[in-house]
Amino acid sequence: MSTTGNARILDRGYRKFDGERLGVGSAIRSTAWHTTRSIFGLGRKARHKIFPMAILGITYLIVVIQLAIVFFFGSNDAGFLTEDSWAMVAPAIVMILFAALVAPDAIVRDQKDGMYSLYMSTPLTKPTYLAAKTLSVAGSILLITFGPALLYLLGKTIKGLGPDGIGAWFETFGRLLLACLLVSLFLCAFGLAFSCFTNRRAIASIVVLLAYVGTNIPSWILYEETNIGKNILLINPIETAYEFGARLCNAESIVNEYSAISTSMVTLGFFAWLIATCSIITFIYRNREAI
Amino acid sequence: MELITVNELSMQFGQHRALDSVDFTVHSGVTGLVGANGAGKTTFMSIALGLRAPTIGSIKVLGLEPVVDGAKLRSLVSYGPERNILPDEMPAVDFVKHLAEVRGIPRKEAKTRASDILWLVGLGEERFRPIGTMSTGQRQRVKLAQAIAADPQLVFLDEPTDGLDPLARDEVLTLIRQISEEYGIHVMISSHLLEEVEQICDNIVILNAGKLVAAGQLDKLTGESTGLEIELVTVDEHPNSIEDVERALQQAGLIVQREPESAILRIPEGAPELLPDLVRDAVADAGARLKRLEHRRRNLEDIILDVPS
Repeated sequence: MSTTGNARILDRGYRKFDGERLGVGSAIRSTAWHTTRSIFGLGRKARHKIFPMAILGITYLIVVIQLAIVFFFGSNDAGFLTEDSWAMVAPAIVMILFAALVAPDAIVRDQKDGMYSLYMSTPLTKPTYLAAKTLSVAGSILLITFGPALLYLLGKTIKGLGPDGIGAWFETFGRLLLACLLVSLFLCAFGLAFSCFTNRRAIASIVVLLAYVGTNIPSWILYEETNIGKNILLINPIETAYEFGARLCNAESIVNEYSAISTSMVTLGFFAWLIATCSIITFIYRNREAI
Repeated sequence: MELITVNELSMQFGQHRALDSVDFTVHSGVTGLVGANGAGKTTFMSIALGLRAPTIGSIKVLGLEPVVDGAKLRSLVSYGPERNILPDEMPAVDFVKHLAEVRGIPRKEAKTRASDILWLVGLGEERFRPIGTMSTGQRQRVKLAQAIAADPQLVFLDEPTDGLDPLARDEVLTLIRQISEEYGIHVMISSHLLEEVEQICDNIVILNAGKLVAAGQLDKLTGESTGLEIELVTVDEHPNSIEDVERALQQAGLIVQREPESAILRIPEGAPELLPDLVRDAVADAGARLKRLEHRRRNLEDIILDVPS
């Protein structure tokens, strides 16, 4: 320690750490939190905040404006607050844009800037690393799926337009939460699966969008131009996930054509896509060199 | 203290054998893992960290089996990668803090340790700068800082002086030595630069094409005498004096090595104790002039060159 007048410079030097080391759970939490901050551009340059914050703003703004009109102008004549809460989940195209941005940011950057090797030299393993990334990406997506829908449900409830009785309210809430959780997880898996092939972020985003377009357009062409039947629409993963969410919430189909498909087929389609995308991630990471 | 024990370790990648029945023990201090590119250094480190299961053989690091106790082991050891690529946008202090947290240090403690460690490696004033704005030398120090911030027992550093100028290299090597001597952290560095390994290491492990060349304490391995070296000066009156000395020593039953046209004669190991006297007499008889007579010590280069190709 050196002193000059009243000022003192404290040189602590190297200190041994005698405390208890936190386990893998803490490593997952820390990695997930670090990734989430990165996804929303926190602690990064302003340009990294623009897109995620804009998506976040838009999705909440739609609901906030509806609620404001009803609460401040005292009318629901215009049809406000009469939809299912599930209808307030951001449209598929917005969600896929968000997933195409956040998933590459979560894992592709780690490949590019060497963090993946460093993470693998810590108590994290490949499965726990992926768990941390999933927690972060799915959590971020959940913020724009569940958040606006919950806000809408609360608005309806306050205005007396919500489910009848506490039991029905909690059932609606539970279904909404479960649907948003599963759809967020699905979008996360879809985003990660199609962005883990490369270490270029822009390319990864394009691949995710192409995977969406590449399944969406053919599914509609095949449906409209052939007699294969409505089940062919299930090759469109994102619409299938949305339809699965709607079925879980007992809500109307967002896309009418899906309403004729049986719930068991929608469920089968949803989980088949979820397993397929998870398998891609598992395969890629199993063969990925740690160092 | 035995840090790493390796028994008959082999690693096969398809047709390529990256490690071939390697067998050695690493003791405390700074250990140099030496070998040319492709010798198996990084493969060995990945096995020691529990990131790869060996094809055959066993390894114990700090008494733990890396494949079985990988996560536990990696909370006690650290790693500094070879690649000089780090997250460019992140301030150094956030980077070091985050990795300390992931290695099990509580958040508040990680924050203070990150600052302290960056001061320690000479980046105190620079700690809030994004890593992307730092020089290669500073980035190497950041890598070193993240490796020791969580107070590991053992640190693996893969080519820690890669891309550095001689001055910066010396500074980083001094830091590594300091980490071992003053803070009691054992270090294993991989390198293909022999002089830097000789400069700071207590122990060495030399690999060549996946095979173990030598392992042990550096001063024991390099301290062994490899015979006598005689340097002569050509005398104008006796133009063949060097050849005469060479012949005289050969006639005395010694093996004499000499490069063509060289004035240096080498008598390999196994020379008799009276050799200096024999040399003296041979030089005197030939009318040559002796410039230097010394016992030759092996250095790392000799050890590597001794390996049959």
